[in-house]
Amino acid sequence: MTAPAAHQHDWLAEHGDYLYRYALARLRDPYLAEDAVQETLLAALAGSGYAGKASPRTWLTGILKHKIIDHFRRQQRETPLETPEDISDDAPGMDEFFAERGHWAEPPQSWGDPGSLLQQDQFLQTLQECMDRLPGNLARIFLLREVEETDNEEICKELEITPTNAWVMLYRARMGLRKCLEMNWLGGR
Amino acid sequence: MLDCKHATQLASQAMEKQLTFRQRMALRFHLLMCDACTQFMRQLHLLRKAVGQLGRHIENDERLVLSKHARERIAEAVASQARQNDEARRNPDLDSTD
Repeated sequence: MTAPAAHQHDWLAEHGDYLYRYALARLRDPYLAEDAVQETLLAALAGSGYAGKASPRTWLTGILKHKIIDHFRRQQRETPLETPEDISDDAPGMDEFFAERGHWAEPPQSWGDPGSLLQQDQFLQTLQECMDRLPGNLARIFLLREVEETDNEEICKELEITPTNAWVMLYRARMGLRKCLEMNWLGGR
Repeated sequence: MLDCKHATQLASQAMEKQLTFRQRMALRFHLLMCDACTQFMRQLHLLRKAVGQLGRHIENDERLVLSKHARERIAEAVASQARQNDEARRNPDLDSTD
């Protein structure tokens, strides 16, 4: 096997693990993250090449970002939403949270001091488990919004969904997550 | 009057965009009287912070590295792509003659 040109070889050695962690933080799946790194390095090789304007790492991360969004978009096409265009009173899946006349079925409780909460490994771990349990498309859009800090307009463009769809999904993701946390973290304390 | 269900919808939307004046007033008025939705609103902000933090934890956790297997696989794919590129460069009209 011939060795690849020196600079390409370095990219995997020098930035591979960094890119992997970046992808993992957004895709939350080791295999998907590995694939994203591979696609990124291949794209870096195939394109017009590194122009030397940004650092190689920044440049590669930019490519990776697009690969991750491509992945989200593909998934979005494969498993499209079954969300209605609006949250009407009879929207499915919302009744579990609210009793009659729009009152909370189980009112949210205080989670205590935010500062100390964010220091608690157990809280963060439960949050991770709750995110893993969200339906795929909800988890996807929520990660895109909150980790990638993509704004709504861009999410809609990238995922090819309407603004209403986007916020209905984000609303559901948040409702699901906080409920899951109250059951599994507050309940287990 | 806004009920809790609609208040939570506005609260979630407020995480994405500026609400209209009328929506803001309705939500604010509801929150003044409703402890549950006030907690909910706090939880949304906390969730945002916590999820961001979780992502940064992963990004900064140097124990998380490509597995040996994945690294080899990627190295091979990169090498193979590089070879193809080199060949294409050496024989620019390969496509027409081959």
